[in-house]
Amino acid sequence: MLSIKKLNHTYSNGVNALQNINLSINNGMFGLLGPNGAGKSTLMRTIATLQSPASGSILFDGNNIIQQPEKLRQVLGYLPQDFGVYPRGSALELLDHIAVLKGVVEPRIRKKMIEGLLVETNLYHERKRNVASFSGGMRQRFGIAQALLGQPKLIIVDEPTAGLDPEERNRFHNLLAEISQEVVVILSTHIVEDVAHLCSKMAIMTSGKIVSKGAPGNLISHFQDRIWKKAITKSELNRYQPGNQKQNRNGSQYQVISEQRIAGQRHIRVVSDSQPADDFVAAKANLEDVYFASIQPESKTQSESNTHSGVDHASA
Amino acid sequence: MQALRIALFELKYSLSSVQFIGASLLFFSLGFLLTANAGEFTSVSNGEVVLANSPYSITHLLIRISMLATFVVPSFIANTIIKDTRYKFDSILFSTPISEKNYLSGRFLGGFAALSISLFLAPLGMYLGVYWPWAEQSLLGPNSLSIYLSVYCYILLPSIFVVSTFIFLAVVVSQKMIYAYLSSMLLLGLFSLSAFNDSLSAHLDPFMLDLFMQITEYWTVIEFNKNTVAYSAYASNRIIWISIGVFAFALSLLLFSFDKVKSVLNNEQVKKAEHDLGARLTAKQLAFKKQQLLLANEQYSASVNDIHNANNNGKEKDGWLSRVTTKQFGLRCRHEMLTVFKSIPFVILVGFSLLMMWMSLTNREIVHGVLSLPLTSVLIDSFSYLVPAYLGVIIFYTAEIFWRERGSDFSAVVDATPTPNWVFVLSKLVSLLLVIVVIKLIGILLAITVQLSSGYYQFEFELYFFIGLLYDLIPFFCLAILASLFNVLANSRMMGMAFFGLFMLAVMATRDLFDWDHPLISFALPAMPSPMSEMNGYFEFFSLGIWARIYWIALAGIFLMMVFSAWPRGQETSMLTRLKSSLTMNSKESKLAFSGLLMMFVAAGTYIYYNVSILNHHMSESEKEFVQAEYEKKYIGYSHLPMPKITAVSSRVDLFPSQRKFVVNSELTLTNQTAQTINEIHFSFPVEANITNATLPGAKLQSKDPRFKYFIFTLDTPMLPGHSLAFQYSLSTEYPGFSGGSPSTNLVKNGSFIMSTHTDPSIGLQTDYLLKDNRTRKNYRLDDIKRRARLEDKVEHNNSVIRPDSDFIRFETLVSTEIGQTAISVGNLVDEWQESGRHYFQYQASVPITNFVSYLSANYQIKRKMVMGVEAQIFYHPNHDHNIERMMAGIVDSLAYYSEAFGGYPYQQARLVEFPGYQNFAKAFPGTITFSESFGFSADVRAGELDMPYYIVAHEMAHQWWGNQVIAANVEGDGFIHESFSQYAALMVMEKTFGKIKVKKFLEFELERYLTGRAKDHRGENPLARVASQKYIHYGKGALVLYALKQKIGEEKLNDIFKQFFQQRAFSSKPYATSLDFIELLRNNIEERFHPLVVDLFEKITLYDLEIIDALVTPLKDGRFQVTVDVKTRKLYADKFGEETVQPFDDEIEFGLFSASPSSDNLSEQHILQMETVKISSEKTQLIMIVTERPKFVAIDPFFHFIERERENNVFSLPE
Repeated sequence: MLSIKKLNHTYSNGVNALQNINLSINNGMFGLLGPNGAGKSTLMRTIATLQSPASGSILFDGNNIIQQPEKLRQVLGYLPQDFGVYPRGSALELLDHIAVLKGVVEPRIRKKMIEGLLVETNLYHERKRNVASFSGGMRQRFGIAQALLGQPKLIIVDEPTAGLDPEERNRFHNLLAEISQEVVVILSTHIVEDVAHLCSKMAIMTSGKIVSKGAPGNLISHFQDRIWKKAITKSELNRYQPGNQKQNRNGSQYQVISEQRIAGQRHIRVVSDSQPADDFVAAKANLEDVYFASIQPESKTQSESNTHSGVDHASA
Repeated sequence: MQALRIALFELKYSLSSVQFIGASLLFFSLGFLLTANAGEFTSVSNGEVVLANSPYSITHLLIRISMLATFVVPSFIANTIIKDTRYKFDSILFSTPISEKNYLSGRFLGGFAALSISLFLAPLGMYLGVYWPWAEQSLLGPNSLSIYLSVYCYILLPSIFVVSTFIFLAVVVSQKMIYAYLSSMLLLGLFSLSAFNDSLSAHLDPFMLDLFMQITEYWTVIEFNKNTVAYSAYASNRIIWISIGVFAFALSLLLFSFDKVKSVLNNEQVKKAEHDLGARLTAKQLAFKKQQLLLANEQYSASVNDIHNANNNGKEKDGWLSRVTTKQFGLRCRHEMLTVFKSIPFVILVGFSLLMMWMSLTNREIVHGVLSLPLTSVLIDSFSYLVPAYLGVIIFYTAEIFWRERGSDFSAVVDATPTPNWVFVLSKLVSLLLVIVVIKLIGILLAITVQLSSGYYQFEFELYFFIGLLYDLIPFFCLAILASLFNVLANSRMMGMAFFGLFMLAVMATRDLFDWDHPLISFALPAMPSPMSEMNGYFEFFSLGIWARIYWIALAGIFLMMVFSAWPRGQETSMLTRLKSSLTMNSKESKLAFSGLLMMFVAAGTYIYYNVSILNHHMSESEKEFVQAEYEKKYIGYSHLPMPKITAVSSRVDLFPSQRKFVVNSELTLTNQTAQTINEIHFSFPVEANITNATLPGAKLQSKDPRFKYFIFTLDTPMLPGHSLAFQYSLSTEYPGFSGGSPSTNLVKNGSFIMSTHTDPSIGLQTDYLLKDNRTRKNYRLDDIKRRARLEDKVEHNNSVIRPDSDFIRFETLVSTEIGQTAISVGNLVDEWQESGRHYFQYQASVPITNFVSYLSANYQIKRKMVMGVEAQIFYHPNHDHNIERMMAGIVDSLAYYSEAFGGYPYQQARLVEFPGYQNFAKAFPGTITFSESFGFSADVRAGELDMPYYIVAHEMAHQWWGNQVIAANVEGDGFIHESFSQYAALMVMEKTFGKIKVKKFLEFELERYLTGRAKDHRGENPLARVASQKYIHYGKGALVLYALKQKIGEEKLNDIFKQFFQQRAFSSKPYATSLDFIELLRNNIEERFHPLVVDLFEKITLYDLEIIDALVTPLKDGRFQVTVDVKTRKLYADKFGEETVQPFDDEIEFGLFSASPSSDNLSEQHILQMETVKISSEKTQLIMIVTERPKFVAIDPFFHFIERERENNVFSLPE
C-alpha cells in the first residue's frame, strides 16, 4: 500500500510542480490522468525515488521512502517516459544489465527470469537483436520486461502507450492487466481511454494539484444526466470556447467543457444541471467528460469534485 | 550553384561556432607568441641566432602548427556531417531535393573554408608579432608578408586539405566522431613512423616536416636566416598528397548516400538482425519458459527473504548490501572493462602506443649504433611511451564510462534500481584502473619478449612489479579519480573532458611559463625524477617519488569522497548544486575519512617541504640563475688580481656512503708563479660544502661569504714571486633527505664518485658557477662571455685549461670508506689498513699530475693484468662483466701502441673504474679512468657493430698522454690537443685491431656529429685549431681531419710529429701546449706541398663537394674492364656562420671500385676490387681506371677523407 501525504515540490525555476498531493493506492491498477505539464512525471519520479520533494511524505508498506529510498528500490519496477536505450546492446544484454543492478546476482535465477519475461512480453524470438532497432511497440514491451525484473511490488508506468498502434496498445494493456493482481501498478497517462479500460481507481491531476480522485465509475456517475452536447458552426466557435461560463435559459450557469468533431461536424459538450437551450441534446457522461471538466481552472464543476483530504468518493 | 549555397551556409554556421572562435584564438596566439616572445621558444626554433622570422623559422614553425592543427580539424570537418544525424535533422534534410554530391561538397567546402580562415590566423599572428613593442629585436629580421603567404598557401593548406579529406572520409563512412579523432592520430602516427626510413619518409609525410628537415639538415646559420626552400624541392610531395586528398574526397562522394547514412547507423543492428535469431520455440517450450519464470521469481523471493531474516536475526547488519552488492560490483567491473576493450578506438590507441613503445625498446642506442643490453631497468624507461595511452583512457574513457547512463535516456531506469551509489562509482573507477593495468601488463610482456629474443634472462620481476605496476601507475590512478570528479561535476561529456584538458594545460603552464617547479605544486604530473642504477641498488632515489605519491593519494582520496557526495542519482541538478554537495559531508564515517586524508596530505606535504626546501634549499631554474648572476657580479671585479697557483695537494678524504656524507681535510701548497707580489688570496669553495676550518699562516681572514662560500685572506707580509704558502682547510658535505629536482648522485651507498670540484676550493672566481648562456646573461644584465681566450693570448698560455688556478701538482691522499668497500683515487696504492670500523687507503702520485682527481668507493670486483710493467686494473660491480674482456683488450692494445707512438706511460697502474649509471660518460683522471655503468658496462656489442667499449677505453687511455702529461693552455684550440689527438690515437688502435672498414663506419658517425653540430652552433663555427669548447668540432671534425692527415703524410710520419710534440710539452707549464705549437711543428716536418693542406685542415673551415656525375664500364679485349668516370670536385671555405666561397680544387683523391655497394653495412675487404689515388686540379675531370674484375660500383673518396655535406652522390652504381 502506497500512502502519499501532503507532497509538495517547487523547482528552482519557480514552477510549482506538486501542490499538496494526497493519495492512497492499494494493489491493482491505479490511473493518474492529466494533461502534459500537469506534474504527473514529477510525481512519478518522486515516487520512483529519483527526486526528493520539498515537503511531504511517501510510505510504502510502512517504509518511509524519502528517507530510505533503497527499501523501495529493491521492490520497484519503473518504466519511464521517453524510455531510451543504449545504442548497442541486445535485449538479452540490457535485461541482464538491469537484472544485476536490481540485485538478481545469481546467474541461473537471472537467466530463467530474463528468458521467462521475454516470453511473457513476446520478445523471445528477438532477444538477440539490438534493442535500439526495435519498433515502438517492441520497445515498450521491453520496457515492461525490465520493469518486471526481480518481482517488483510497485510498478510505475509513465506514458507507456504514446506512439503505439491499436494492436500493440491492446497487447500492452493485457500485459499490464495480468500483472496487476498482487502488485501496485500506477499508470500515468494523458490517454483517457487507457484509464477507462484498465484502472479500478484513478486520480486526475492538473497544474500540480489532484483535482479529482476515485473509481472511474463513481466519477462518471457524478456527471450523469448533466452532460449536454450541441452541434455548432464555425462562427459560433468564439462563443463556445471550453471553459466559458454561459447562462442557462433559466438563469443558472453551465460550462462548456470540450469541443470536438464528430463525423466532421463541430460539437461542444457542456455540464449543466438542466438543459441549457433547445438545441442542446442530452449526452451520456463518460470519463472524458470527467477529465475535461476536471481540468478546467476554477470552474463550478471543479468545485463540486474537489478533493477532500484523503477521502475518496465512496462507491455508489 | 547548390553546392556553393550549402557551402556558404556551412561557412556562416561555422564562423559563429565555439570551435571556430576557440581555434582562431589558439592559432593567432600561438603564431603571435612565436615571434613576439621568440626568446621563449628557441629550443623549438633551433638556437639563438636563427631569426625567429627567417624563412626557415617561419616554415618550420608553421609546419609544426599545422601538425597541432590536426586535432582541431575534426571539430570543423567532422561536425559538418555529424550534426545532421546527431540532431536528427537528417530526415528533414535528406528528403529535400538536394543531391548527395552537392550536399557533401557543400558541407566539406564550407567546413574547410572555415578551417582555412581560422588557420590563416597563425601566420598572421606570426607576422604581427614582429611589431609587438616588447619583442626581442635581436631575434627578428626583416618582415615580409609574402613568405607567410607562400608557406600558408603552398605548404599548410595542402597539408590541412589532406587531413580534412581523410577525416571527412572517416566520418562519412562511420558517422561517428571518434573515428575522426582516430584519423588525426593515424596521420600523425604515419609521420612519426616514417621518420625511421629516410628515403621513403620524404614522401610518406603529409605535413612535409620530414622532407623539410631533410632538405635543411646540414644548413648553417646563414642559410637558416636567408634561404627559402625552393618550391621545386617539395612540389612533388605536395602534388602527391593533394592528389591523395582529392582521391579520398572522391571516395567519400562515392561511398555516401542518404540511405546509407541511416543504414550505417543501424549497420550493426542490421548485421545482427538477420543472423542467429535462433529457431522459433514451440508452444510447449514457451510454456516451459513461463514456468521457469515463476520458479525463478520464487527462488529470488526466497533468497531475498533469507537475507531479510538474517538481518532480523541480527546475523548481518544489512545483508543485502554485502552479499548482493559485492557480486554486483564484480559483474559491473567486468562489464565496463569489456566494453572498453571491445571498443575499436581503444584498440587503435593502445596498439599505437605499444608500437611506439616497441620501437623504443628495440632502439636503446648508447653511442654510434651500439645498443645497451636489454636490462629491465633500461627497458622500464620505454614505458613512458605508454603514457599517451593512459591519458587517452583517462580523458576519453572516463567520460565515456561515467556518462554512459547519465548521457542516455536509460539513466532513470538505472537510478531507480536498488544498486547503491558506491557500486556504480567504484565499479566504474576500478574498471578504468584495471584497463590501465592491462595496458601496462601488455607493455611488460613486450619488454620480456625483447629480453627473451636477445637471449637475456635476468627478468628482475620485482622491478616490473614495483616500478612498472605500482610506482608508475599510481599517478594515473590519481588522475583517473580527478577525471571522474570532473565528469561528475560537469554538465556534459564534452565539458568533463574539457575540464581535464584545462588541468593538463595548467600543469604545463606552471612549469613552462611560471617556472614553479616545486614538487608540492604537482598532482600526478609531472613525473618526479627517480634515476636507477643496478650498481647502487635501484631504489636510493625513490624517496621523493614515494612521498609525492602519498601526497597525491591523499588528495585523490579527498576527490573520491567528493565524487561520492556529488554523485547525481535521479535528479537533474545544476553544476553548482553538485559542487556544493561534493563539499558536504553527512556521515560520521565520511568526516573521519576526510580528516584522515587531510592529515595524510598535510603530513606528506610537510615532510616533502622539509626535505626539499629546508634540508635542500630548493630553487627554481630562474632562482638558480639569479644566484649565479649575483655571484658573478659580486666577485668578477677581483679577477684581475694576481693569485698564487696550487702546486701540491695533500688531502684526507673520509667517505661515509651510508650517511651520504664526506669530510675533507686538506693542505694545499700555494706558489706565486707570477712576477708580482700578492697581497690577498681568494678562495671559492664548493657552495654545498660546510667549511669548518680555513687557515692560512701569516694571513688574516678578511671576509667570509656564508652564502657563496667565498673567503678573502689578506697577507700580513705580501707574497713574493716564487714563494710558497701552505693553506689548510676542512669541510664536510652532506646530502640529506631528498631534493626537489634531479638528485645529486655523487655520494651514494655503493658507487660514490666525487671529484676535485667537490673537495677543493678554487683560487679566485669559480668559473663553473658563471652563467654560460649569453642570452640568459642578458636577462641579468651581464655582458657576453667568451668560451675561451684567444689563441694568441700569451698570458693564458701559462694557465692550464683544466685548472687555471693550478699547475702540475704533487699529490697524495688518504681516503677512508666503510668496511666492505674499496676507496680509489689517483696514484699508487702505498698503504692500506682497517681501523675503528673504517677502511683506509693511502695513494701517492709518483709523477706530477694535473690538479684534477677523483675519489671513488664501492664494493668492487677487481680484474688485474700486468702489461709492459704496468698493472691494468678494472674495478667493476660484480656480474657487470659483460664487456670486461674488451675493455682489458683496449687497455693492453692502447698501452702498446701509444708507448711506441707518442712516449712513455708514466704511472704504475692503468685503472678503469665503474661508477653508477646515473650519468653517462667516461673520464680520464691521471692513471685512473672512470667509466659509467650505463655507458660502457651495459653495452651490447653485436656482430658487425663497432666495439665501442674498446674504442672508448682506447680514447680515455690516449688522454693519459693528451690531457694528463701534455696539458693544453687556457686558450682556444685546447680541445684540438686533448680530444682530437685522443680520437686519432684511438682510431689508430681501432684500425690495427679491426681494419679500415670499421674505421670508415666510425667516421660516418663522426661526420654526422660534425655536420649536425655545426647547424646548431648559434655562436658560429671555429676552425679546428681554434676550437672553443665545441664538441662537434674537437670530437667529430678532429677525428676526420687527423685521420685524413695520416692518410696524406703517412702514419709513421704523423706519429713522429706527435712524439716530438709530446717530448716538447709533456709536464710543461710555462707554457702549456697550444695548437699553434703543434701546427708549427707540423709545418717544419712535412713537405712543402702539404702546407696548403695544413691550412685547409686546421686553420680554415673547409668543405668539399665531390660527385660522380657519370660512369660506364667498357670490356677490353684482354678480358679486363675499363671504367670511365666523370667527376665533379669542388672545395669551399665556410665562414663562422656558414657563408661559403668556392676555392680551386687541387688535391689527391682516392677512388674505389667495388663489387658491392660501399654504403652497405655488410661491406668487407673482399668487396674492394681496386683503390686508386688520383691528383685532380679542376672542377670537372674524367678519369679512366682499368680493373680485372667487373665492378658494380665506383666511388669517390669512399673512406671519408674529405668532409662533405652530401655523400650520396659519391657512389655510382655502374650499369650492367
